[in-house]
Amino acid sequence: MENSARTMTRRVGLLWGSQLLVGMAMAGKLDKQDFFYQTQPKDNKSCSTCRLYTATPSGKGVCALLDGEVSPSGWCMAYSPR
Amino acid sequence: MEKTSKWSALLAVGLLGFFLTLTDAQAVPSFARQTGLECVACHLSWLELTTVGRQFKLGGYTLMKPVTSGERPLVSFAKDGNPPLIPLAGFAQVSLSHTNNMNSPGADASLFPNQDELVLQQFSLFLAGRVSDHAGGFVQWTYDGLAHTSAIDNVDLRLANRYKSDNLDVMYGLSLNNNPTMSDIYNTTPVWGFPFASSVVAPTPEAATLLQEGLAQQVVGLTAYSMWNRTLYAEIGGYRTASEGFSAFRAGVDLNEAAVLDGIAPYWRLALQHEWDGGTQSAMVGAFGLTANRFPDPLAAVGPTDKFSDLGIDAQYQYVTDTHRFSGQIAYIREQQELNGTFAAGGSSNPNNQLNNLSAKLTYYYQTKYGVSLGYQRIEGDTDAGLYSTGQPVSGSASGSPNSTALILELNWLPWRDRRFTLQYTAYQEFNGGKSNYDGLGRNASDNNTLFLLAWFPF
Repeated sequence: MENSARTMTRRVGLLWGSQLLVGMAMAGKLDKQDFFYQTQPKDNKSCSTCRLYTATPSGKGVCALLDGEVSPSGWCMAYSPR
Repeated sequence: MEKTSKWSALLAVGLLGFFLTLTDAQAVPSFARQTGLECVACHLSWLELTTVGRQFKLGGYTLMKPVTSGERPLVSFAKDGNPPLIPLAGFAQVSLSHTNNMNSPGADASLFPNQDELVLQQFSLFLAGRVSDHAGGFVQWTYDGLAHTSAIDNVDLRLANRYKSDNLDVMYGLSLNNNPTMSDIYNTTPVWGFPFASSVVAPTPEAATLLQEGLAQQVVGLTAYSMWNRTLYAEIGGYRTASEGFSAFRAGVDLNEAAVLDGIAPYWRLALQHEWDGGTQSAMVGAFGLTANRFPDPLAAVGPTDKFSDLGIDAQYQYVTDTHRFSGQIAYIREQQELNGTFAAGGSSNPNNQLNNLSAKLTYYYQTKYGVSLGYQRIEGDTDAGLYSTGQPVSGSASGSPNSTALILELNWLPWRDRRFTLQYTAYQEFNGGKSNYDGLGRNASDNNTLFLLAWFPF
């Protein structure tokens, strides 16, 4: 009885574990709203002076942590000056 | 003995000087090196987490800036560049304590060791960072500069994932850790609550609930957590004695004093949070609990146990901008003790006791450099002469009451974002059940008021 309960627990655990690790990826970047990204500067701070920002030829830029294009005059809560 | 003390003071002064020369803020801990973030993005002021810090912890410490051209170094303490493969970090705490009265009746200098001198009170090394896309964590090893011993400290190993659709956003994962409430993401619960550092040589009240780090580095627990739509945080799990195959989670801990639990101690946590004003403001209300059956004698884990049922309620508010930062936390823990083991062994006067703890603090920081915090701590419960009336000077209680009240005023100065200097004053209105003559030998609560100076240097 005890063994069967343990086997069941192990199966449930394995199933849960496999569900945890399969599919929906945490890896990579976060969504902009995760760090409350806004297209306007805040307190004179903006992406263009953040160390996580890299300008692109399009005139916009990319963030090391946030997904998609960001504006050089944008801002988010993870702002970290160069 | 005197040689050891001198060596300790010399080491403290040496480390103080060494870290003071590193003033270009190149030395930041491994999470910052991994993400590229400033300390103050994740922390209101370390150790208090902001929205960004909570997000990072929920993600299992896996968030990492992209690796650019070139190889990742094996070990690095540089702020810029690729994250190192081995996420090594650490900190040193050099402090000086002065207790108000070290000459009360019955007390002698041996009860107040290492006062009025610089000591290396703690030196910690961390392996802290991302392991893979879904796994990360930190392992802390701490050297006690006064006892000259070292042991495992906090450990938090995580698996994390996220489900996101148009209407649903769930961050979830598992935490394997060795200290109940360490997995929590707020700064109200004991492990991450105020004060973040205090004197290790000054007298402190005898009574504390089990949740107030009574099981730290003595147990191992697995908890499952989830954050739903950035609003509802739920966590459930259980802790057991960190023995046998789990003994690494209490490596180096003195087993004469380590807790031994009977079976699994369930832990749970619920919190409702709200973030608004573009993330500038956030608030949380929550509850948490732990029930544990502990053997009264860790070296003889047989017979009746003591059952501790802890229930906590808490709340937090934060206002975070670059210029002004403000936060407030409050937590109340109500502990029901069924002392079947201790009472049977004659260690307590009552078979059942209640012990309650109220902790509150307010913090303000200007330009993340200058901070002031005011804390209030109250422990109160049933009078039990068997538990608290030890008859000892300073640590005893003539009334057998566990009641103590302290106000803590703390000033912080961070000339660089990873260098902290703290001036802390703890004032006791009541200590071990009394305001005056609490130990029955003539010592007053205010005699234990303590001035504490701390230099805290992460690297």
